[in-house]
Amino acid sequence: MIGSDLDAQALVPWNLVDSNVDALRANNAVAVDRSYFGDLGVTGVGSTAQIRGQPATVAAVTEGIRSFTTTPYVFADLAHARAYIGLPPTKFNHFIVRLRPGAEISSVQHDMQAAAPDADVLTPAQFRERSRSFWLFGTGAGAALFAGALLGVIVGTVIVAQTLYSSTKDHLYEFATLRAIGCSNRYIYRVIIWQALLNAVIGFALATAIGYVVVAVTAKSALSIVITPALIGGLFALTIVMCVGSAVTAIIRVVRIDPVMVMSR
Amino acid sequence: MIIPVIEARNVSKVLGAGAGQVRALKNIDLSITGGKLTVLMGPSGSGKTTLLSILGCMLAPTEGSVFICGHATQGARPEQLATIRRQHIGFVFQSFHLFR
Repeated sequence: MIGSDLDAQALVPWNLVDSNVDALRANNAVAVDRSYFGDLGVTGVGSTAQIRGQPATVAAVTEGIRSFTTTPYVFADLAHARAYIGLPPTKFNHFIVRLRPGAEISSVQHDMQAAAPDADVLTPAQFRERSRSFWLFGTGAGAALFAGALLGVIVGTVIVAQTLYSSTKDHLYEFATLRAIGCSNRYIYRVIIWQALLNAVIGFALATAIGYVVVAVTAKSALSIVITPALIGGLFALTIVMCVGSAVTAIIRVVRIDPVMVMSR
Repeated sequence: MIIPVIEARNVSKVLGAGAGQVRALKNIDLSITGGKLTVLMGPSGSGKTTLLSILGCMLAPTEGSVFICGHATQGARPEQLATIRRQHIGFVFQSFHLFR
C-alpha cells in the first residue's frame, strides 16, 4: 500500500491508462496495475474489493507498475492508505524527500541522518543498491539465481566441449594429415577455436531469438523479463569464453595425434 | 659439394615391443640429391612405408640420423619437424584425408 499526499507533488501512480490521479481523492479510491487484475479479483475502474476488511474501489488503472514479489502495489490517498493499514498519522514506513533544484544531496542526506539517527537516509542509488543486495544476497532467491546461472555455464561448457571433442575425434585422420603436411600447432588451434566460435555465435543467436520471444511474452505479465543491451553484451562475452574454454579438450586430443597415423590407412 | 636433399645414415627402426617386436629397417644408408627421380621398390612388408615415414619426418628412427636439406632431424621437437615438413617435403599419401 502506497499512500500519497496528492497536494504535495509526492509519489503518485504513473503510467495511468484509465482515469487520473485526482480520482484517488474519492473515498475508498485506490489505483492498481492492470497486470494484477486477476490476483486482486477486479476488472477495471469501478470494481470493488476489500483491503483488510475495508471497502476499496478501483478509481484508476496503471500499466507496468509491478512488484518483484507476488504482492502487488496499491496506490491510495495518504489518509486512506493509513486507514487501510491501520497506521496512525505519527508513524510512517518510508518518506520520499524531493530536493529543491540546486540542493546538495549529500549535505541534505547528512543533515537528515543527524536529525533522525535511527532512520536510514538513502539516496536513490543507495536505495536501489540495498534492494538489489537484499534480494541477491539476503534471500534464497539470489542463491538460487546464481546456482542456476552457474549450472547453466557448467552444462553449456560441457556440452560444447563434448561436441567439439567428438567432432575432432571423427576427423582425427584429417587433423593427422594437417600435422603430416607441416601445419603448426598454432594453425590447428585456430581451426578448433574457429569451430568453437562458430558454436558460440550460432548458439548465442538461437538463445537471443528465444530470449526475445520470452521478453515479448512476459512484457505484459506481472513479472516481466528484461534483457538489456549490456546484459546481451556480457552474455555474448561469457558465451565466447565458455566455448573457447570448451575447445581445450579437443586441442589436447589433437596435439597428441601422431602424424604417422596417416600412413596407416 | 652438392648437399643431398635427403640423407639417411645408418637408420634402423624397431616397431612394437616384447615378443611382437619387428625390426622393420636395418642400417639404411641413403643419399638423394635434387633433380633426380628416385623410386623405392620392394615387396609388401619390406619397410617402404616405414622408411618413407622416417624420411618424411613423421616417424623417428630407433637408430641413425636423417638430414633434410642439411637439417638434422634427430632430437628435433615436433613443432620443428612440422616446420621441416612444411618447408621441404611434399607428400602424396595413399589416402588423402580431406575434410568433407
